[in-house]
Amino acid sequence: MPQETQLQPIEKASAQAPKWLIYSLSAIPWLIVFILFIWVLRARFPLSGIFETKSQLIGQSAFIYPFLPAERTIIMTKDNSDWVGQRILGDPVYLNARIPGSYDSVDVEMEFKTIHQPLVEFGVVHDAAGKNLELQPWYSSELENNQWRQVKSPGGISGMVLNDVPASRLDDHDVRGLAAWLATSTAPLMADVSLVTSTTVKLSLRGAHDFWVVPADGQIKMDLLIQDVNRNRNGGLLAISITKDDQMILQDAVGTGGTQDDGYGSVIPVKINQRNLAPGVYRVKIIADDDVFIRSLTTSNPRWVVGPRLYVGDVVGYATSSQAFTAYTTARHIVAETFHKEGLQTITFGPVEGKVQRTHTAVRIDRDDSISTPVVIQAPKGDIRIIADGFFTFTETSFFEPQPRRFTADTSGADEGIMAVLTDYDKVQHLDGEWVAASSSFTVPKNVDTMRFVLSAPGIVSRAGAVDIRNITMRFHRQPMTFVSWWNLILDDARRLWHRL
Amino acid sequence: MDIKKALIFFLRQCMAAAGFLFLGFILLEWFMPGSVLPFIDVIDFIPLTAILFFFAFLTTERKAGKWNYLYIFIGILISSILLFVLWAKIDGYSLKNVVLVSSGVMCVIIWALIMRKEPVN
Repeated sequence: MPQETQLQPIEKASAQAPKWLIYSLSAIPWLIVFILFIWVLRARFPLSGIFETKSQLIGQSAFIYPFLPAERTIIMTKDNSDWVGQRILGDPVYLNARIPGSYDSVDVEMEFKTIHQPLVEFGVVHDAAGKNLELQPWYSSELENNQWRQVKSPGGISGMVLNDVPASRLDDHDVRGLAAWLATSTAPLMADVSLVTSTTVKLSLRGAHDFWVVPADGQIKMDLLIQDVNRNRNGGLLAISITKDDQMILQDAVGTGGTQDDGYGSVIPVKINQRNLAPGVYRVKIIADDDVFIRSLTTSNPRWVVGPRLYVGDVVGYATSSQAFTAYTTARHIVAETFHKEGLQTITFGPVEGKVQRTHTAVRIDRDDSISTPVVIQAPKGDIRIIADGFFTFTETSFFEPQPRRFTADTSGADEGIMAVLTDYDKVQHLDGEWVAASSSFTVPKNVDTMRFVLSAPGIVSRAGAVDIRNITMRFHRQPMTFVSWWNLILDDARRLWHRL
Repeated sequence: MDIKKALIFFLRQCMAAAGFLFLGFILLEWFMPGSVLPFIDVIDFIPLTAILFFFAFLTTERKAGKWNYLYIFIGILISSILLFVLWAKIDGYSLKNVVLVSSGVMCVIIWALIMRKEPVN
């Protein structure tokens, strides 16, 4: 009997694919991942050495943040404007920018327009306290005028001169008719003969002041009477430094005594007597807080001035009646402010007057005359702080100009007798409508992740002005990369990362 | 290699590559801020990564015991991510959109309840 054969189910033959094909196809997604990583790294570390980032200052950039503080700015969008960007209404404002790696320098370009704001400055903040600024001239409506041309003098000094003035004017040490905008100059060589009888001037100068003195017979001789009015401390400090063209000649300090009695401290004499000085202009810097008063100055030097900051204090605790302030100046623009009700008064500034009607409120007073000699400035009640574009003296014969006048937002150039301006200013590039573009370069600091920039628009609040900014472009520069430099760059970034962690 | 197994292998490689890319970018941005986000919006990778994970997950074999609950949990997690991406992309809170998202949520719940039945190994 034949055996039954059990039928086995027939297995369907399944389709087969070669393994090499499957593995090759499966490598494609990993290849895409690798390419994407390389692309991101190349964008982050450009081989050309130039990293560019732009921002409209509305908070959408990973590298450039909007200006702060927010109460001094408005973010402009399509909802409230026909342009997108940020409007600056106060001064100063700060901008943080993230540094995208190890770079040497950054070019900052800004597209902006100004409303009732004749002068804008832009720069870098180098310290956390915001005191160490590297400002650069950014925009000046006065210097944009066709009357001015940008030149470099035969001595290599950059500046702007009127069209009919030669570039060599910038090399001339005569400061008359010369202004400076964020630039320094070498002081003229000046020397005098000592006065037969010393001059004594009653003052009530409060806090730090700069005196500019011409040496007489090679000597600076100044006798000050100072008084510390702070009853809550056991003596303050007054520091003195004498410099010439930023070279230190002398540094000294004096304790002010002070008292914890009911009355003010006694008046202390401070003598400055420096001999064997070469001709020039010397800056005698008095460094003290606002509780230290300079009550009088006696000197045999014929020429000396104070400024550009002058703080005339009150005489409470020193004299029984208020001391009027009278001085001489060639300044054209001053900003006056009082911090006490007793300081409310009308200030006479040459042919013009200005009323200080509120405390803690800056009052701008501008001269529009053509007087080139010193005019009288008077504050009948004293107790006023004045910041000017020029210098002050208390006897007409002792006046001189130690430095070029400070170029400010109110300087009207040729109308004030200014024929040349020491400055690195580059005229702006005009874009569509009222928009202009300005740019400058800054050094990128090492071992930090962010840079802080500052934009200054002096007097913007009092003018009800604004600076509209629609775009900022930052181009970070470093050397184009080879493999070796790329490797060093990776190490630099790893070190920065380590410091951050 | 069997075609079905080959496709599952390829799908899992895509899933692994997408997950590696997403996590790699997140870590790179975390350690070096500004190195990824200004150039690539990493959020845009979430939908594709979630879909790849979803399909790769579907090919996974269920096991009995606590592994079954883990399977359900992972399924709910991936589905939730996909639903969240969908919800973030739709505009407004119209009845149609609410019904759409609610349906998705109900599907996930029903699927989880069905998956509670232990697999037969």
